[in-house]
Parts: sequence; C-alpha cells; structure tokens
Amino acid sequence: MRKTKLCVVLMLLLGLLCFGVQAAAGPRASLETVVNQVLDVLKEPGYANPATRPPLRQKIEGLVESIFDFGEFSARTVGGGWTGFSADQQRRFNEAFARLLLATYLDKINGYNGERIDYNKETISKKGNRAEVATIVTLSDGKPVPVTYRMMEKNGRWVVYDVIIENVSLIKNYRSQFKEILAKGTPEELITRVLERAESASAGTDSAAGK
Amino acid sequence: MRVVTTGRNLMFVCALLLGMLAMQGCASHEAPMAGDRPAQAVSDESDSAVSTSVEADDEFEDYGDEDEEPIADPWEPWNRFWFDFNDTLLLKVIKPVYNGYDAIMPDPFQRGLSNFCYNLKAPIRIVNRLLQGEFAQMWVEIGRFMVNTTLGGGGLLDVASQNKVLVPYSDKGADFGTTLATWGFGEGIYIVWPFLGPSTVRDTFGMAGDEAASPFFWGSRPIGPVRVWATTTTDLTLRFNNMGSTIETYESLVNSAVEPYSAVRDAYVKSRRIR
Repeated sequence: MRKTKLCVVLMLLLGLLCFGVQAAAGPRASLETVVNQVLDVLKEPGYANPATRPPLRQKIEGLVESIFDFGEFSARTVGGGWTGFSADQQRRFNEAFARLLLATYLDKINGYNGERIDYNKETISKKGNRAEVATIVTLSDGKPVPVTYRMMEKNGRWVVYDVIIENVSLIKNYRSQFKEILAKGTPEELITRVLERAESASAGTDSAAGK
Repeated sequence: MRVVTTGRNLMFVCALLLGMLAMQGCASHEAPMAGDRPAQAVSDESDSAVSTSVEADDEFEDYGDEDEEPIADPWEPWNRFWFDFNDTLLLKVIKPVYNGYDAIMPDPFQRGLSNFCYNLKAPIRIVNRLLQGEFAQMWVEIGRFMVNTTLGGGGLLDVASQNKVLVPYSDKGADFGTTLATWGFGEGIYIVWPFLGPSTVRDTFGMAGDEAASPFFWGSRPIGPVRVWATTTTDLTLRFNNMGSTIETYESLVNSAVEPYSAVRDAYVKSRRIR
C-alpha cells in the first residue's frame, strides 16, 4: 500500500519534472524567456540614462548571446564560401560580425518605449531539430511588425540562427552583401570591411550618446 | 504646368520602355524556374559538404537555398548611380528639411495631415482590394472611408480605428503592384528610380496604376495634367509628412549594412514578395 503510494508520488513528480523540462526547452518558451529578461533589463530606470547604461547593456549582451548563435549567423551569411575561410579567419569573422550586429542593433535601443511582443505560431520541423517562431512586435506607435525567429536545437538548447523581419531574412540580406564582396575580394577583405563597419557603427553611437 | 506636361510625356515613354522590360524581366524570371540550374546544383553540393552538422531541411531554409529566387538586376550600374543620388538626397537634403518641419509643426497637425491624405487615397485601396478579390478588406476599407470622411472631419481624424471591427484592418498590399502580383505578374527586374527609390518593373506599373486609380485622376473635370498634379501632391504630402519613419528605417538598414546597395535591394524585393 505504502509502496504504491510512493510510486504514484514518484510518477507524479517525474511527470511534472518531464513537463517542466520540456516546457523550458521548447523553442518558443526558450525565446520568450530570454526576450522577457531582455525587456526587464530595458525597463530598468537606469537604462534610459547613458551614464548608468553600460553594465545593463552588458547584461543584455550576455542574454542575447545565450539565445543567438553568432557562429551559426556567421557561417550562414557567408554560405558556401565558408570553407574557404581558415579557422583563424572564421574566428575573426565571427567576432567582427557579432560586433557589427550588437553595435547596430543593440546600441540603437535607448530604453523601453512600450513595444509589445505577441508570440504566435511555433512550427517545428519534421526532424524536430528546427523551429520557426512567429511573433508580432507592436511598436510604440502601434505599428505591427511581423518578426519570425528561426531556431535550431544545439547541444540540447534552442538557439536562434536567423531573424526574419517583414519577410526579410537577416541572414540572407547579409549573404547577398557578402557574396558580392567575396566575388571580388578575399575573405580577409571581407573581415576588414565588416570590422570597419562595426567600428564606425559603434563610433557613431558613441558620439550620439556623448551629445 | 509645362513641367507637368513633359512629366506626363515622360511617364508615357517610361511606360513603353517598361513594357519591354517587363517582358524581358518575366523571361529572365521564368528561366531559372524552368531549367534545372546545373551550376547551382554544384554549389549546393559544396554547401552540404560544409554543413555536415547542419542538414538542409526542406521546411526551413538553410545554407544551400540562396539562389532560390534570385533578384534580376541587369541595370546595376544605373541603379547604383541613382541609389547613391537618392541616398545623398534623402540624408543630406530631405532629412534636414524634414527635421526642421517636424520641429516646427505640432504633432496633432502632422497626424491630421497624415490621416487626411491617407483617407483621400482610400479609393485607390478599395479598387485594389476589389481587383484582388479581397472583399473582406474592401468592405473594411469602404467602412473606414465613410466613417472617417464624415465623422472624422473629412479624414482629419481616424475615428474608425476606435471602432470594434470583425476583420482587423490592414492596408498591407492594398496597392496595384500587389494586385499585379496576385494576377501572376512576375516582379521583373530591380530598378532604382531617381527620387522615388527602389522599385521593380511590376511595382513601377503598380505606382502608375495607383496614380490612375486616384479619384483626382478621373473625378475632376479640369485638363489632364492638373488632375495628375493633385494626385501627386497628395502623394508627396503624405510621403513627406511620414518621412520620419522612412528615414529611420532606411538609416537603420544602411547603417547595419556592409554593402548598402545590396542590402537595400534585398530588403526591398523580399519585403515586396511577402504578399
């Protein structure tokens, strides 16, 4: 009698655990968790003030890196030419590209302005290792912007490998640019140009913040 | 007046020219669809060789899908020239002027003007919804037009947006370019027009079509050019009044880009393919 009771309790517990683990590991749930954490940081009063922002921004950067796989981003934007990069070039390109993305997208955010994110459909591929999470970002002026995240399972975690805004894939947009540069130049030239762009982008925001 | 007349002649010439281009564009659009693209198959193979850990999945595009629907850009030198021209025009001329205007004009005035012009263009959207067979959106559009024109003081106020609706309103794709797309017209080649910015052959016809669908074009009796003038004025006013968000979108795209021309081309064409 006691044994069955224990068994039931154990099963319940296990079931709950499984449920909990599964819910946490789902693509949409993983995304939502991190996005909410980012929003929470943005909502902190210190974020609006450029003087107190850096540590908070650092925090966001960490959160973003936990869900966005910049390595995947890099490889995908270069596409077929990725094998032509040496391991060192791949690493430097990764860094430069991540810097560019962070500088251009994150630095622009000056705080939370009442944007709302609605999570819509989550589509998981047949193999179960890819997912697409559709969201609608409603801007502060009420304009809805469809944003879709493409995610993949990597080391037991769901990570974002592409963001599609208004049908424009971030990866493909960069790929069209990089293809053009690589058609005429070497990987080394591409890295230099990405790095230059990242530097001027972060310099631009620095001067804007200094005003 | 003279300018307008020549403008009209120019439009006619452009239309003729574009007609030819459209055919060319359609042809070049068909070609990759029909053929098996042997050259690409090779690159696909090398791609899958790269992505040993990442298998291409049909459901979610991956490494090897880049040329699925390439953007035809045979006019690249011309396009690049006007892209640079428009870039300078937008950021060095229009932006300072707009910022001055934005600073002087009270927000309610700007909102009112936007609503007014937007409402004036409702017939264009209604016609397009009809031609697309999107009847639900057509009725929403008609309802909004009636409510805003009457209760909204001739369209100055968007009172209709406060009504509870059965079908959520969207003006996405309520343009003749999209109508042509629903009728099966290919996008044709990518074209950057001076002053007007990025477009395709289909969207250029779309622009002309929307202009022709404007109530001013047909509704008023005066001589042709004057009617065109009124339509264009509405258009330009709306465009200028909403320039803030245009500039913002453009800047964020270009500032994050390594090769701005390709970035804008890709973003324009892809965002127009959505509908």
